[in-house]
Amino acid sequence: MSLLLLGISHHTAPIEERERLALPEAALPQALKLLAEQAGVREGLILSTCNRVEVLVEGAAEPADLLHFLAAATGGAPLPAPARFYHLAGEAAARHLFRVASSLDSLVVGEPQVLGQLKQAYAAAVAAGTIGLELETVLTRAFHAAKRVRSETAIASQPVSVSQAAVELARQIFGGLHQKTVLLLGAGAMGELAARYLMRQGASRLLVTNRTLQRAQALAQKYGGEAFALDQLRQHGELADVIITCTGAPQPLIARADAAHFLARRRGRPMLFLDVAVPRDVDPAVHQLENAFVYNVDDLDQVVHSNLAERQAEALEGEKIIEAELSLYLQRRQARDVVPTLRALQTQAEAVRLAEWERLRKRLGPLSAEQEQAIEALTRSLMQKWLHHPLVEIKEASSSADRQALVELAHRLFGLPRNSE
Amino acid sequence: MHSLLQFSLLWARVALGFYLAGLAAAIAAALTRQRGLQDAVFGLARGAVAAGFLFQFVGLAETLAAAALGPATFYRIITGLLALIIAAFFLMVYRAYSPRTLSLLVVPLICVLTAAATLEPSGAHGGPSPMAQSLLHNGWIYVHIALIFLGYAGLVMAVGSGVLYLIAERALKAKSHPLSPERALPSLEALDLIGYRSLLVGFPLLTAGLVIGAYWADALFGGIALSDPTVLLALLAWSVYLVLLFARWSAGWRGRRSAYLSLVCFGLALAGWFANGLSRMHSLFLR
Repeated sequence: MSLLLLGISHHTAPIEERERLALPEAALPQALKLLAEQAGVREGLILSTCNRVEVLVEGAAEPADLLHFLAAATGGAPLPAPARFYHLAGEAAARHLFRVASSLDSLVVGEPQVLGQLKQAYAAAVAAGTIGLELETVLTRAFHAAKRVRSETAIASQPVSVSQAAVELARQIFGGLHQKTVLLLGAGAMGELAARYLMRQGASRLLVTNRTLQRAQALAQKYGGEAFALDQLRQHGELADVIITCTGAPQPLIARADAAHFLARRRGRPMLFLDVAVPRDVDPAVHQLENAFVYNVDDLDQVVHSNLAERQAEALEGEKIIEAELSLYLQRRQARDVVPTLRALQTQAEAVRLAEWERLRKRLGPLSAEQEQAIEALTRSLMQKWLHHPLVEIKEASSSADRQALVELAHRLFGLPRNSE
Repeated sequence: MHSLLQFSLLWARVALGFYLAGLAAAIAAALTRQRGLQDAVFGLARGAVAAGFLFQFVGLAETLAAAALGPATFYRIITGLLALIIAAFFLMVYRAYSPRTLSLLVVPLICVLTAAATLEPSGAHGGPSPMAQSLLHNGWIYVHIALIFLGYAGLVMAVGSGVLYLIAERALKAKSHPLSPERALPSLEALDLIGYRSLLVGFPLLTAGLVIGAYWADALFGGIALSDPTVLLALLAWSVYLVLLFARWSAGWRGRRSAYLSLVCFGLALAGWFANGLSRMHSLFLR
């Protein structure tokens, strides 16, 4: 199996480093095209979320190739230290993908967003034509595993996420959301979820702004809020008690001076900034202002702690499902691996049989139909009997290493053509 | 009459017992992690403080009814009164906001004041001058003291909630661990509001108390001596108090700054209390 995965995530790097690598949705087609052009890359997928940037390829690429690709795709900015990246191959890469899809590798285990993000990444790769049979197989299986983990464990019954963190922080700062105004800045999925949750928890007013006003208006209409253009942020920002930001902007949209301006106009009433964007939308210096509290995605696990132990127990159940799904995937994957070999063996045997039979027929001269049939049956049965044991051995080898060895052996012993795949 | 006085002392001690029980319950509740149990124990704490309040009130009323306004009882009466007023404030605030952790700061203060008020009159005091004697039988002096104490009680609540505000705000800024105890404090907005409303109630009362005091000083001593430390500190505390409220109205000073300012104000008030012995006008009653 020639899967290779290279990534950086919240486990290995802080947000300051991750945000330099983030690839916004709009940049994906270009990046995928670039990825497909890399030497040794036959199929490829790019997953870029708040918490991780991962590149999954099928082919003969090396981790260093993917690092070069990332550097090129993100505009040649200096990459984080190589130690920040992990790279996994074959089975390990598949397992990692399954765990990511099932939210077992997430900052907030059990959060539902990552699966949607992976599906979007898949759709983008399909659109860019970089998905082939191999990635199709492993991704389909990963989605299936994620679905099983969600439905068969209680991992998602505590939908712990930005939304809950927002509610908890609002409780600590404002005592609750009653009579509070929420401003949603950007139209990202995570922000939308959080805003909807806050409204359900009793926030009284929702304001929405976005780079494209229509999108903001659509969102505002959906949740009974009011929309305004992004360039009016400075006028309206002060109205918000809670600001949720989730744009794909490369630079912070709320600078320290903006926040200071809001706070002065609010006469010091506190403001909570929930920055779920990567790269960040709120200048971290805003947190230093009196009465301003800025929490980014990395701070989330600090905020949400409820039922951590329970969720860990559920995560263990999830891991078991992942292993089961993984072995199923590997079996099918490997069964498919040996098919060309089996077929080549049979084809070769048949070719030999036919060739020998032709030679014999020339020497013997005309034969009766009965004789022809008898010889045909004899040779065929000889070949089948002779091949039966090797074929079964290869097909049912217990481990992948065994199977690989047998396939290799078959190729050598029978002189099978090399590029049978 | 003597037995009535004895009774009043007994009631004050019963009150102290309840306050201490309330403090113990509040500490126990704060250490409890289980939510339901915590609610119940905090309920107990509040009930104990309320009971203490009632007994203290009865005790004070009896002392006054006994007209035992001798110099020996005077100090007891005013410390008891201060404890009573703070307890009343605390119960009112608690009713409105139930800021549990605030009880850990305020109830100990009530306990200390009540304990001071239950000390046996030592009789070591020499007794006030004839002028003070006549003043003690004049109700206005109690109005003066009560009003100033009410102002101080408001300040105590403001300082208590201000300190908690500083702790809670620090925890939020530091993004401290969610299981850390600071995260269980009341919300910033609630603490700020408690402080502000306490100041709002306390300020006019303190002002009235000071005006009455000034009026009496004028009648008795022919004017207010600004060199008198108690007077000076009280006026300073009053000005900071005023600045505190004004800064909030005009400049939106709240939260951290407000908490720091109320600490300054409280410090001045406390200094004024201890400076009573140095004050020509106020030491009359303490000799």
